[in-house]
Amino acid sequence: MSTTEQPRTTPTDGLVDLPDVPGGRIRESALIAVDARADDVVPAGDGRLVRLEAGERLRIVDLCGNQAADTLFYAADDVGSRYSAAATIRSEGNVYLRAGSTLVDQDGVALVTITGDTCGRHDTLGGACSQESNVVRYGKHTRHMHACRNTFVRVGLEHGEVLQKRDLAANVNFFMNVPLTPDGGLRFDDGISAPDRYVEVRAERPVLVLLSNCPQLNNPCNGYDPTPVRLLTWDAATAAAGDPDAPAARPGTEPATDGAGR
Amino acid sequence: MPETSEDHEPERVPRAPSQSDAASIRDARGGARTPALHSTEVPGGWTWSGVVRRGLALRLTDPTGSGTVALTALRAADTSERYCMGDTLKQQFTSRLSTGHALYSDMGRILLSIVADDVGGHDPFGGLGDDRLLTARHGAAPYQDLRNARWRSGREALETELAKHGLGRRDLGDVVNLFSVVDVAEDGTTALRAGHSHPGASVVLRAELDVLVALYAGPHPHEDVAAWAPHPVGLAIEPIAPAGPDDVVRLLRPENARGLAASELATLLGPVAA
Repeated sequence: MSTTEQPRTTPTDGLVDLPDVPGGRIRESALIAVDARADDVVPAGDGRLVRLEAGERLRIVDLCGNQAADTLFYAADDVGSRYSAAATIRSEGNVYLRAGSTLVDQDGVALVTITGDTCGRHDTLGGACSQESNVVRYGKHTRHMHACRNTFVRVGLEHGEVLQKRDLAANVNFFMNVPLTPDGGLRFDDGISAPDRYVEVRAERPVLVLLSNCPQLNNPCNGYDPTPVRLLTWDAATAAAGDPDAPAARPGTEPATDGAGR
Repeated sequence: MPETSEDHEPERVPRAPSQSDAASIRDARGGARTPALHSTEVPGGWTWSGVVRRGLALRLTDPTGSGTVALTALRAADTSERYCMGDTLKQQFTSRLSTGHALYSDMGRILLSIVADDVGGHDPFGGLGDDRLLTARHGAAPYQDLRNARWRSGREALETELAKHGLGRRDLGDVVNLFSVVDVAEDGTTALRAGHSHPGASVVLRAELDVLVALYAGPHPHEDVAAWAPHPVGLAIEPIAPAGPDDVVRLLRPENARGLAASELATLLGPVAA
């Protein structure tokens, strides 16, 4: 079946299954910070909109461990094409993102591939916190607390409104541990990340990355103690030379070469 | 915004039930229920959309037992508020939806509630097939050659349906795939469950606000078969009482009681943000 998982480990790409985390898969990237073209620390509760050109890499480092980095991806030249959790789950045959996963848009076209991952498993289903959902989840006393959806909207406003509320889709929660149980349940567990673990993606075409460094104080997604993350960006030539064995995009998801992306 | 995309008749007076409606006015347990205000069958591969007002319910029936219906929902008064997969799953700590579960918007309100379900669960994260996927499975499908037998992907079909309400690609969010369930192993591997539904299975969704519903009767995107053979769905819109104090959705979880209260408040006040 084309939708089930294909063997992803080759002698050179360095993907390693984690024995103690079901579904977990890691890969150490060979890129080093001194070669990065940008190096930025995002405090908890803050957000960023980062543009990556095709071939560029973005590494998100969980500096203190157990932080949740709520992240969305868009085709830079057409924000109507955006990361789709459902299409990515179908394409990968797995609900978790890990080293080697290719994140696709709603039309099944690659946006980014995870080229580095020392955490090994990331949530696709838990979504972002908001003032409104906090009230439902925890009660009225949590209405006036900072939340990721506010950050997403605010960062969009600060960048000429290229991204608006209606562009907010189901996001990735990097470093967050939301196991599904075989009987259909879903839990929010303590994180499986740790200080200095990271996830790194390669842009398969020009993309916008919208990131909220989660300020949630009501659940263990960031250990009740939101902390900073570091963003490192490498240009395409440096990345290709410095880490030539990074896994390719999943076959069948490659962007069209006519520039339209679909 | 038109009431439905298929029905532009200005008068919408319910007609008296006839003998032929007898089957359609029996609920899943065989008891009598209120006659439908509107009923139709959506052929396999096709769509329906319309505003389902608070006070009404949408009953969907799987006549063949092999169907899937991809359904999305937006708040009619402000379509930037729409079905939110993440909030729906995390508020209810579930990865499948059945009786008592709610479809949450991104604004902490319940759009639709599942008040009856004799299927036994529905998939909230399988998503939609797209043209690239269906081309790989079924080959190209030019209308010129195949006429009405050509395939349509769920994504193309629902984008087109929402466009009839003045919306764009950016407004199509997540869907629930009714009559289907995706099982997830401990390592995250997904598997569409075979034979999940049964002929005549039905599910009833109660509108908690005035909700724009768009749906597509087509194959589940995880169903990797070479033949294009979509199945139809029966659709009826029926009056329904609002959720009472002992309502199955309200009592399922305290989160759902708060979500229903938010929808009830918005019904009184009109659009409020938080």
